[in-house]
Amino acid sequence: MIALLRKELALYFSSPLFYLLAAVFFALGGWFFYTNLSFYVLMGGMNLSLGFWQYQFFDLRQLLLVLIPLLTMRLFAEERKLGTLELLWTYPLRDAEIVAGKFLACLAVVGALLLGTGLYPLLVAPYQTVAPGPLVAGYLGLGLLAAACVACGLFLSALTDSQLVAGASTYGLLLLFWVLTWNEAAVGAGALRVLKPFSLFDRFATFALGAIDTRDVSYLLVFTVAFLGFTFLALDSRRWRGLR
Amino acid sequence: MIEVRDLTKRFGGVEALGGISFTIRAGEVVGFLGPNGAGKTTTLRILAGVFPPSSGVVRIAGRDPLVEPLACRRAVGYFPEYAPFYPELRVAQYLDFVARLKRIPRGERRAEVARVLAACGLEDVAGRRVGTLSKGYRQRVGLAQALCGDPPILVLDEPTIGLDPGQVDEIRALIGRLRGVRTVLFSSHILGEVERVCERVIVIARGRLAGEGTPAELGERLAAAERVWLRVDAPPGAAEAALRALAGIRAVVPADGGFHVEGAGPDLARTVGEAMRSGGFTVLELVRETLDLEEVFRRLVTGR
Amino acid sequence: MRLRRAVRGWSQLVLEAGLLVVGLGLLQVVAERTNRRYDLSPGRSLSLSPVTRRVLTEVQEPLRLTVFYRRGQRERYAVLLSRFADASPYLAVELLDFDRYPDRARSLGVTDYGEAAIEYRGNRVVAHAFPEEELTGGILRAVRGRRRRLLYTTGHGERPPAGGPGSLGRLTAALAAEGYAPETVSLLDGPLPDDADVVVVAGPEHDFAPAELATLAAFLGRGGGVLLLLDPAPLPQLGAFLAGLGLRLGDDFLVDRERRILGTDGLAAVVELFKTGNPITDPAGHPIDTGVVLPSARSVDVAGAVPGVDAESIARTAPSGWAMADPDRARRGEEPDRAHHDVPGSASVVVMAEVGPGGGEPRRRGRLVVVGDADFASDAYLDLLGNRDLALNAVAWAAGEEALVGPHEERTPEILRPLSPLVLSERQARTMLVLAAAVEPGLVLALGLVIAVVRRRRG
Repeated sequence: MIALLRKELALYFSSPLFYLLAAVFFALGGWFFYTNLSFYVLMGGMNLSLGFWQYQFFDLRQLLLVLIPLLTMRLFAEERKLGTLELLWTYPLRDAEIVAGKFLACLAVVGALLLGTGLYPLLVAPYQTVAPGPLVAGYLGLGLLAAACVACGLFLSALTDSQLVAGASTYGLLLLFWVLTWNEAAVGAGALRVLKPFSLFDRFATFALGAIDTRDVSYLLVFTVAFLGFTFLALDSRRWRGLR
Repeated sequence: MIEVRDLTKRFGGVEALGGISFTIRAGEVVGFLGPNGAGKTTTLRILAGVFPPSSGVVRIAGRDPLVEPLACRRAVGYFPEYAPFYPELRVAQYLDFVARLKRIPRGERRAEVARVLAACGLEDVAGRRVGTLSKGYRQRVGLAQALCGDPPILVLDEPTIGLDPGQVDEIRALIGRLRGVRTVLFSSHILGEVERVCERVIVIARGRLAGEGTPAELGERLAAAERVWLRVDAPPGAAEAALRALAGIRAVVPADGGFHVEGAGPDLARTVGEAMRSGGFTVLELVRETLDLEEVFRRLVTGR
Repeated sequence: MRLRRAVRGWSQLVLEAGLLVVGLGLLQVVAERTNRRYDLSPGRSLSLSPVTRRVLTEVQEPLRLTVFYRRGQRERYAVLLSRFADASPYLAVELLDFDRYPDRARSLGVTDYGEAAIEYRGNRVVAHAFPEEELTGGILRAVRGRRRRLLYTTGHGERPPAGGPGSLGRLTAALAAEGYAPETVSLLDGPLPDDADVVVVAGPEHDFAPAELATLAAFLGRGGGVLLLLDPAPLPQLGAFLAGLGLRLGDDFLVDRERRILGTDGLAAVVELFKTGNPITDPAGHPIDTGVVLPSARSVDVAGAVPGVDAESIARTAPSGWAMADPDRARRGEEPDRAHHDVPGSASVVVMAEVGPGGGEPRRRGRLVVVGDADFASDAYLDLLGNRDLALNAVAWAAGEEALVGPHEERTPEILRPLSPLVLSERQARTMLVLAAAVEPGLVLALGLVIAVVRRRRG
């Protein structure tokens, strides 16, 4: 599995497209950082956690939503199209290892990008004490959310040989989980209560504010494991569906 | 080394393999022939461990892939049709990746990669990205990947497809060198080369075994339906009628002033000759025709 | 060595996927029931305050909370209510759109957006659903079922309980939300009623008569609670009374030229140092960490030990402050200097004391809190920094409100709490923008370019 992980990382980091994506990610993140900070200073600049980090984390979350499907779409679809997936299945490599290797590689890449956003607390620190607590909560939330999105993208990538289809469907599915509870006027109170626990949008909120609720941690982990499991089942289905 | 008994495979409602049995001994080089859609690739995939059969028994080096899937995969080096590759990886990098996946211990990896590069003539392009290589070289990389780890069994799906004759020769030479040393099963459309490289041939059509044996054996077995070329001096139609009246005659094909006569042997020539003489016809030419592998193949495949 | 499963079909796939989902779903259900929350925000602003949690522990029977919100504002109430619901198994919470359920609202006595109807043991109380303190106060009222009596003294030019920026209107309203019914009382009218929970002296400008002080002392002796908010004004009799309890009331005026808080003039004293472990400034580990600003303060300190009195100073001004010996000089805005006997450094401004025989007596001891300022509690300044917390906590402790009493911890050293808003100059802000939005992405692009070139070269 490590070998597969290394190969995926090698492919990510040797692709010029990736650097372009990363640069755009940082540019937007940096822009949001600046605007959020300006707003914070304007509003008095007292409570860093509620006045600034909260919004910064929400913005980073949006960026991740846009970025992750672009990173996951190639994971299985490309191999299927190249024909190399069939070859992987002839090596002494378990399916679970394949899933794990690709998942961890993509997650590591997202992690590297999140690491890059660590620049922002560093920039603020000389001017105001930065409490580590809210940052821990926020980044934990982003990490878990990233894992969930990557798992979802990985699964959809395993269903097709077209990167385009994989990417588009990942956007679709993630958006569905996102906007589940957006329109409170349209959704009745009862339906809202039922749908709310499934919404990724709502589950991240507490982390952004600086608290860790084990319910949210659990849900994001469950979401991730579920989709990893589906991915495994999708790969396994070749036994009776054949290779296409 | 490889044992297959009553192998079947269904995909949904479609039956790809309807019951195949064969055995391949260690050190044999066996050719796998069959038209498109016959089930060659499916069989090879099952042997390589890509998916299990729907029913039947498979033994790879004595092990059952349903019970010991990883050990079986380790024993087989697989070369898929069209030689898939990762365009962005460099040759040596790719082979190192394969070596890791095949669980070759760290200390031996570099040596193994070097060995395989040398064996397939890839030393000069070891640092180039696979995507930039010519088809011939890419095919060699695929072969190198299969050889990596020195597995006792090699399963190759159309290893020479799309290559020019020179390259085909090289591949053939490589496979030839493995005779007696490794067990090789490879499929091909090019009957000529199968004839030249393989000791034995397995023919499969429509998901079932159509024939098996050395090329000579097959030819002979089919020549139990022999063929002779006959030219007689006889009124038109008379000879033909007399021939058709013979027992065991399968086909009478007029051509070039004579007939190709097929029928059950042995010694069709004598039977036909005597028939003509007793019919009062003068035999001008009577030649025994041997069936080449092409004929064998065609007959096996189109069904007796 | 596992036996591989037999080849399977769609139905088996769906079954496996279904089992996976069900299994994980069960895990999640368990997680929902047994959740723990770790509030990492500084000041724990995301959890319910310890006050609220204490109040909720008093809820021992089903309590029904129905909040009516204005459309579009559901979120803020939902977040708060979910925290309440998590904290107590007896709470049943419902969020309704006021405009969609007007009849329901009316039947519960709710007449406006953002109000909550609290039903407990037959009591029904209507309170504001936001912020948290209001809702907690409402719950407390519903749980207690009775109101507490808060007495404001009159006759000495005290600040009125209501009306105008100098009054204690907001404080009174907040206390009313917590269940204190305000009354005014004159200390000359005879002994203070026994069921009065707390007596508040709010910024007297004239001194007290000995008879009044005797009434006060008697009240304290009976276990009553007294809160003195004293502006810098000559109060010799009161000062002597306090001296008798071992407390020194300074005749000074505290200023802090360095720490300027928005909304005050340069005369304000800023309290930064709080004693930890006491229920007024640091109740149950929920400290007032934003500081307190006292617009016109005098020092109050413990002078010496007096038998029957346990007193301690619990808040001090910042070390950058000065105690000016002449209040008039201070009011004129003159700079402090040693030549005029002004004393630099941190000064004590809040003292809390328990009065009466101690040692496990059945009757509780009297409680006295003396704060060297009354302005901070007035409408103009109550909402600055931690002023509100100080005022409410002081009243609550003096009133003997058990919910607010924290565990008596050892006297720990004072800790400094810096407070400084983030201020950025144009140049600094621009540097940040460039670094974050241009340099970092630029470096990444450069890296990508380098890699692309190297790869092209190597082939």
